[in-house]
Order: sequence, then C-alpha cells, then structure tokens
Amino acid sequence: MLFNSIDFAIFLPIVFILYWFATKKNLRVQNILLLVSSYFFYACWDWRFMFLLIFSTLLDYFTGIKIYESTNHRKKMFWLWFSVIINLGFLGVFKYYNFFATSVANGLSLLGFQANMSSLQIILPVGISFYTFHGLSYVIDLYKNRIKPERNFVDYSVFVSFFPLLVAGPIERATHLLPQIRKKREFDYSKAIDGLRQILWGLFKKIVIADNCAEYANTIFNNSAAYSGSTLVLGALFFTFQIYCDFSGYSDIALGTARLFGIDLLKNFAFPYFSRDIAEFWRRWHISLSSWFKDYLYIPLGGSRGGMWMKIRNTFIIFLVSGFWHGASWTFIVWGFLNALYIMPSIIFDTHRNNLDTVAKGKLLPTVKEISSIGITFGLTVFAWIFFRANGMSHALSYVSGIFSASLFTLPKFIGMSEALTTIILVVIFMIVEWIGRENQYALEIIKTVRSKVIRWSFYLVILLTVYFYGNFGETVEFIYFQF
Amino acid sequence: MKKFILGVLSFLLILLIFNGVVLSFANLHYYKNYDKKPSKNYSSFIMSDSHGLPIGDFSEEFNVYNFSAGSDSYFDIERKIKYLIENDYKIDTIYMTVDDHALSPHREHANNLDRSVIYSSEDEYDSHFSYLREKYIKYYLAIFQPRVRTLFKQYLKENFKHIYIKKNDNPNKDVPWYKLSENERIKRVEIRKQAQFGSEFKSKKLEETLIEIINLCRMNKIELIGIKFPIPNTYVKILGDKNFGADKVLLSYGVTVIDSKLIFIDHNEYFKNTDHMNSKGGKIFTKILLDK
Repeated sequence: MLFNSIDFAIFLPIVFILYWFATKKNLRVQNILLLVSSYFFYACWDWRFMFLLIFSTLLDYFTGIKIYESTNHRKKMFWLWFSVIINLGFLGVFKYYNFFATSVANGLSLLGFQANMSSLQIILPVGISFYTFHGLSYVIDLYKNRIKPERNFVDYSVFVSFFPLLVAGPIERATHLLPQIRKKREFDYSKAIDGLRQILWGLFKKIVIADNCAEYANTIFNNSAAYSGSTLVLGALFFTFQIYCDFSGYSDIALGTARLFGIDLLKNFAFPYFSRDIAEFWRRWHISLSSWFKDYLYIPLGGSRGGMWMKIRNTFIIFLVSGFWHGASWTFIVWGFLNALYIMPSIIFDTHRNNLDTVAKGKLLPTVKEISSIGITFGLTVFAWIFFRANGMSHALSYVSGIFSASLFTLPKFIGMSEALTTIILVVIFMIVEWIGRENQYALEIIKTVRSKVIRWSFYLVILLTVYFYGNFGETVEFIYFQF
Repeated sequence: MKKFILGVLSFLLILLIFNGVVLSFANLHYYKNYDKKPSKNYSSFIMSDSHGLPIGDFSEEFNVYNFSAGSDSYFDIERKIKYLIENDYKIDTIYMTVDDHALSPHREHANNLDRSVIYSSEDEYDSHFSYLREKYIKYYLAIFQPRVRTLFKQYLKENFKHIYIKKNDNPNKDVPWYKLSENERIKRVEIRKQAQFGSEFKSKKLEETLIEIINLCRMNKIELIGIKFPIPNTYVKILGDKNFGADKVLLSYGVTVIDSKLIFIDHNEYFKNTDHMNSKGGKIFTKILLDK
C-alpha cells in the first residue's frame, strides 16, 4: 500500500476514526489498533513476509529482556550478539546473498579458479533494513543501559512496526518513540493540522517533483550512450531532485501521518541541498540513518577519540557501510566512498562543524560566499548521485565520461525535452519555496505564520491543483527507498 | 477535535465539488457511449480500436454488432468477449483487429482499461476490494483517473487557447485527407508512425492476451476472424514492412485473417486521416467484409 494510492487514502481515515472515536481513547486499545493496522498495512505488500517481521520483533523483545536480566557481563554480551547475528543474518541472506555469491565467484575466476556459486531468486522483503535497524538500536541501547526493556509486547511491537515508518523509516530510537507509545495521547488540533499540511507537502514532492523528474531521469540514464554531455548533466540533475523529493516526500507523509495519531517521529531531512559543505549535507540528509551509524558504529569504533588516523578510518568505514546498506551493488559502495572522500578535508582540518546553523538565517538571500559553497556542495552531491543511480559500475563510468566530452557545451536535447521544461519550472518554484521555508521543520510549515485563513486555504488549493494538473499519474511509481 | 473535523470536512467538500466537476466532464467526454451494450439479438461482433469506428452501424445491416472503441486494446477486447460469454450471448463470430500496430507497446499503455472495467467480473481481481476499487471507487473518484485528468487538462487548454491564439492557426487543419498535398500527408504519417512504431519490440503482455483470446474463442466454439483494416497509400509506403505481428499469431493458431490493408490503396477519398477510413470508406469496407 503506497502512501500516494487510493488504498492509503481509504485506509488512513478509517484507522484515524477508529483510533480517536472507537477506542474511547483507551491507550491499550489504541496501541492494539495501531499494531493490527500496521500488520495489515505490511501484509498488503506481501503477507508471506509477515513472519519475518513478527520473528524479528519477538527476537528483539525476548533478547532485550534477557540482556536486562542477565547479571553478568558475559551473558549480556551473549544475548546482544545472539540478536545482532540473527538480525544481520536475515538481512544478509535476503539482501546480500547474491551480491556475495557473484562477487566471490568473480574474484575466484580472476585468480584462475572456477567457482560455481549458485545465485538464488530472493525477493527482498520490503522495509527489512529499516525494522532490523529499529530492533538493533533497541537491543544495543539496552546493553548500554540507556533504556529499560519494554515488557508490554504490544507496545514493543508498535515501536517496531508502526505503519508510517515501517517500510522506509525514519529509523526510530527506543529512547524517542517508546515513551510516546507508552504515554496516553490526547488529540492535539494544531499537531493534527500540521500533520495534514506535511502530508500535502509530501504528496506534492512525490507526485509533482519526484515522479516527473523520474520519467526524464530514466529516459536519460537508460539511453545514456545516445545523449550529449549537457543532456547527461541534466539527467543527473533530474535524478538529484527525484531522489530528494521521493525520499523526503515519503518522510513528510510518514511524519505527518504519525502526527495525526499524536506521535512525533524523528526528522529525516532538513533542506540538504542548501548545505555549505558535505559534513552539513550529512547532518541534513537521511538524518535518522546518519545518526544511527554515528551512534551505533562510529562511536563504538572509537569515533574521533583515537587521533587523526582513527577518525579517517572510522569515517571511511561508516560511509562504506552506509553505501552498502543502500544495496548490494558496487555502485552504492562507490557512492559511499565518494562521500567519504568529499568529507575528508573537513575532518582533517577540523572544519566539519563550521556550518551548524541554517544558511543565511534570518536573511532573505545568502552571501556570495554562501552561494558558491552551496553550489560546490551541490555539484559534488550530483556527481555522487550518478553512481547511486547507474545500473552498474561500467554504466556509471561511461555516464561520467560521456559528461566530460565536447558535447558538454551544447544545448541539452532528448525525447520529451519540451515537456520537461514544465518540470524544470516546477522544480525551480519548489526550490524557492524550500528556500523561503528553510528555517522550519518542513518548507510548507511557513504558511502557519500567515494569519489570513483565506490566503492559507488558497495556497493549499493551489498545491492541490498543481498536484492534480501537473502530478505524474502515469503509473504509480514506488518510493525509491522501499528497495533498501 | 470538532474544529479539526469541521476543517477536514470543508476541505473534503471542496475536493468533492472539484471531483464532481471532473466526473461530469468524464461522463460527457470520456465514458459516454463506451458502456453501450449490444442487444442479445446479435451473434456476430466486430472488435477493434479506432480503426473499426468508421464501420459505425453499417454492419447492423448484416446482423453484426460493431463493438469497437477508440484505443481498445486486446486487454479490453478480452474483457468484452468474457462479458458476452458470461452474459449468455450466443456468439458465432468475432471479427477482431490484427492491424500491424495492434501489439505495439504504445497500445499496451494507451488502452481503455479504465473504461472497459465495466465489462470486467470479480474473477479478474485478486480480492473483492480490488474489484470494488477498480470498478466503482476509481470511477466515482474521477480525480484519481490519469486519463480523465489528461483529457480534462487538454480540454481546459484548448478552451483557454482561444482567448490568446487566433483561430485557423493551422490552415491545413480542416482540409480532407484526399485534398492534402503529398508532403503534408508524409509529414503526418511520420508523426503517426513514430507514435505507434516508436519501439522496436512488441508488447509481450498484449501478445499473451491475444493468445488467451484465441483460446477463449476455441473453448467457447466462437469463430474468430482477424481483420487488417485498409490504410492509404502514403501510410503503406512509409510503414514499409513494420508489423508487430498480431496477424502472424492468429495464422500460427490456424485462425483466418482477412487482409484488407491494400484494398483502398488508390482511394484517398475513403480516408479521414493518416490511417483511419472516413464514413464513406467505412460503408464500402463493411460491404466488402460482410456481404458474403
């Protein structure tokens, strides 16, 4: 069930009405309802993988209790590794088996050995990377004595499988979400309105920007050999906006939906394309994953405590793992590697915390210096996205070499160029709105400050009509991050 | 909560009014006539896309019902045949299009699935909800119909265009096909060819459905006859040997194909445009096809 489908448009109001009216605001009943609807939501994709979700929930629920109740350190450690190995084992089999099998076979054949590693037709269970990381954060936090175990199985299950975040995050923390699930929730008018507004903005991003950009990005990437360097640059730009609006649009809908139920999820995006350096970009892009890697990988590896080399090593490790988390392909690993390279100067010269504030805070326009640093960061990001989007390493390399040719200085041209102009105009308008609203949680939140109800409502209607007239309804396009 | 519900209801009301406008438009300009069901007196049917439209009701003289509709694909034709079978029509013969473009990927995407849904039965769907969604919810929530949206947008554009663009911007717009210069004809045929034969590969899904139709007719003892509709000289020349091969599929299953592609090759006056007959051509063709 996609967020931008009729099914979800029917599902959400039904759950909302039952949640606030049929449960008599009884917390236990509300949580049971959230759990049942979350399982239904997941089963709509593929009910066969329900067992994995339930198994993962049971595993972490019981090992969590075991970790907490173990009196000695060795036992605690045993239960922690028991959970980590099984969780990562499932993730490894479903997501990475074929990658390892073919990579080992290719490696051996280079050494002159013939290896017969059979690849399996494995379907990737949707959301497995997300709910596995939920569970892992829970058991690691327990092991570190940051939290106490959740004894109520329903509450714990809601934490793992709450439907707005189940298939593509944000990756929640037990310390943030579990207390909200345990606490009695009252309907909050402003929170609910804010939720609806964020859903509307998310739909706009997904249907108008991401899905339209996807069409042109696919056209150009799938026939890249036929296009000029300038057209390839345009293709990379289309993908850059596609992936941002697809994923941040999804996150907006998820956060807005959760707010309708009185729950606040972790913010996942904070206007990353206005970043002045790569370190800032990574504080603003897929925040819940970046902070997960920082807390559960970078810091346990020693973080920045062991001197410069340790810092460099650990930075490379988290970026490579982050790339690998996105998918079993060398292109994702190269994407991670490139980002590690980009961030290195700021690690070495200790400037990675230079840009903590919002760019041009309180001002309408940025300075020339800010514009140039935003431009450079954006350019580097676009370049890295080419590897992320390419169908394989050779495709990525031929795409890049295609860009750096004499045709880079010609006018872009491809089938559908005239229709693409409308999308380009929409992207420009979108980025202007994002710039104006950059000091808010999400851009459209700024409309809250407009006092006139007529203007506010007119603005919502304009967005709705834009979604209707300019949205891409060709075929419902799945959210990119569902595959991770 | 009351304030929230009121706000949401007001918002929904606006959406509902807009949906009402779109639905009325769709009924007038899109769904109209598609749901016209044949009388049970007919036992023979013509099923085609827009190429079958010029036949109009001339076929009724021969007791054959023209069940064609613009953009009908094999997906839609299969639904119609199943509908006739399930509703106890006595079917002897089905004349079905096997034109060169019938298996094109263009036809796979530009089909009538959202309209022919009225002929579908619950067996076609994996759940009762899917059936309700496809057949009823999507119809009444017209704002969710991509094709209706495209038509509505086009309609508004055309109407607004008159405000700022002078009429007769294209002098050849209303000139009949046979009066057009050869250069103009070639220009139009090239555009048409690009739309229908833009891809090198045929649609696998349409081919599978075509085979299902052949088997369905066999199982129900229906005589299936393939027709290739007449096309004008310019189109024949430019098309060359381009053919996605629907006719060959039928022939390989031992089904008769009547190839009328070249019968009006020297009669531009029988055509309305690049590859469609006009009413005059349709009338003559019907006689040739059905007057045994």
